[in-house]
Amino acid sequence: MLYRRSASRAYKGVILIAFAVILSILIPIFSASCNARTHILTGNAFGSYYSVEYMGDNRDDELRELISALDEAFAVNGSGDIASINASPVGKSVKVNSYTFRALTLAFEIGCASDEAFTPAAYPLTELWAFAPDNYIGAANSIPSEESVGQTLKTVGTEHFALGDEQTVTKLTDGAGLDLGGIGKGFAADEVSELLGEDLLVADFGATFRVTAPVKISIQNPRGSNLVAEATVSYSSVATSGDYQRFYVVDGVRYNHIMGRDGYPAGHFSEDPVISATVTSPSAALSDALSTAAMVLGNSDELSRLLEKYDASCVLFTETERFTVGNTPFEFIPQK
Amino acid sequence: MRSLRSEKNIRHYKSAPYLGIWDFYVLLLIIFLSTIALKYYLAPEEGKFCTVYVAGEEVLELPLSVDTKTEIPGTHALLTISGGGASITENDCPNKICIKTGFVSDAGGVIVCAPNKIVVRISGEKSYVTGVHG
Repeated sequence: MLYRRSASRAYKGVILIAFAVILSILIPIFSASCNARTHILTGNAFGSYYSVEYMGDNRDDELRELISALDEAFAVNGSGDIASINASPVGKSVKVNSYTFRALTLAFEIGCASDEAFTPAAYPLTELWAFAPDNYIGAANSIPSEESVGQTLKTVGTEHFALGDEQTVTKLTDGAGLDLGGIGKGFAADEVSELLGEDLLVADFGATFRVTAPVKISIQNPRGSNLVAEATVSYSSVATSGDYQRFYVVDGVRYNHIMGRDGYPAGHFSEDPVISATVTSPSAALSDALSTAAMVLGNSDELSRLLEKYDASCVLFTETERFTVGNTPFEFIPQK
Repeated sequence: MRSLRSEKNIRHYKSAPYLGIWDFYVLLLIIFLSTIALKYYLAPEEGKFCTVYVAGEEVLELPLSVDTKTEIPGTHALLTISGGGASITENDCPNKICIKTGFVSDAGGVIVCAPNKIVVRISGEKSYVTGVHG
């Protein structure tokens, strides 16, 4: 009698354990197959590629429309807003769309805050140094004369433009020109994030990221193909500027496309210039613009004050050293 | 405490067999469940992205969730993504080993074409790299 009772108790125990084990195997299988559908939209804009990963309903058409509208408005060639402003005579107000106006307002604000280390109004220099889309060929025989740099520098800066109340922009100095190249990709990533809200996973505009979902982002070695730092970020943005994509070499000296405040490429007069700057901040447009400013300012107090103002942090690489400014999530990867 | 080990208390252990039929059932169940569990946990991770390298340079990164056919830049090889797997379906290499590899869908899987220096690597997670582009 005693023996029989213990046997039936064991039987119940086994059933319970078996049930628990089967559940623990099946639950992950079912939950994995019930995941919401992920969409990936890819294309070309701002002279580079883009990729938007998001969840929920398919909104590819809406996104494509937004991105191509931004691309057209920000282009320095064609008939978009920026091209129209640059082509218009001094004193004539040009009415722009709300995207362009907001992007310019933010760009002018960062321009002021960074004392023009980042500026959307250095296009005359970009053209002079042959880094504009229609005159950049990746090589040059000579560099502009000191005199021509000095002359051009007089037309550079946000003070040569006025933003009006009703989305109008007015050029104040002949020869001045705007270029949203340093902020456009980030601004687009922010607009996509605004449109998709919580459904956005990752918006990648030419390696400028705005992310919601936690993802691992690595920094490319500016002088190689390996990765030099990595971070897992969510609800954040990451952008990198560097001297290693748009540049040319004249007489053994490298000239890059980011224009310094002196009218020469960023870091030209520095002994150990910054060759890559990666900024993390809450907004991609900010990260994009501040990474350009970081290339110009280098590892300085001025940079750390600027980053602090915008709740941003930065990883800088020079040929020989690496620095972090602010509370960056990036950690350096040990190199073999 | 005094009567715990009395003859009366341990009599039924003495009369019961060392191994009963239930011990056997429990053993069978444990073996059965652990076989299932092992199969499930050792299953390879499903690939989500495929990255294509030509001569060591990354030229393409595509999601495996979207069926597509595309020529690998700089080569005459055709990459086909279908049903969550990737394969090289056309190539001008002499031995066609890459085509014979067939569809690869598990993370960590690789298709190699040595004559044309093509490597197709399947990964479970997309790698995001920040840098300067264009």
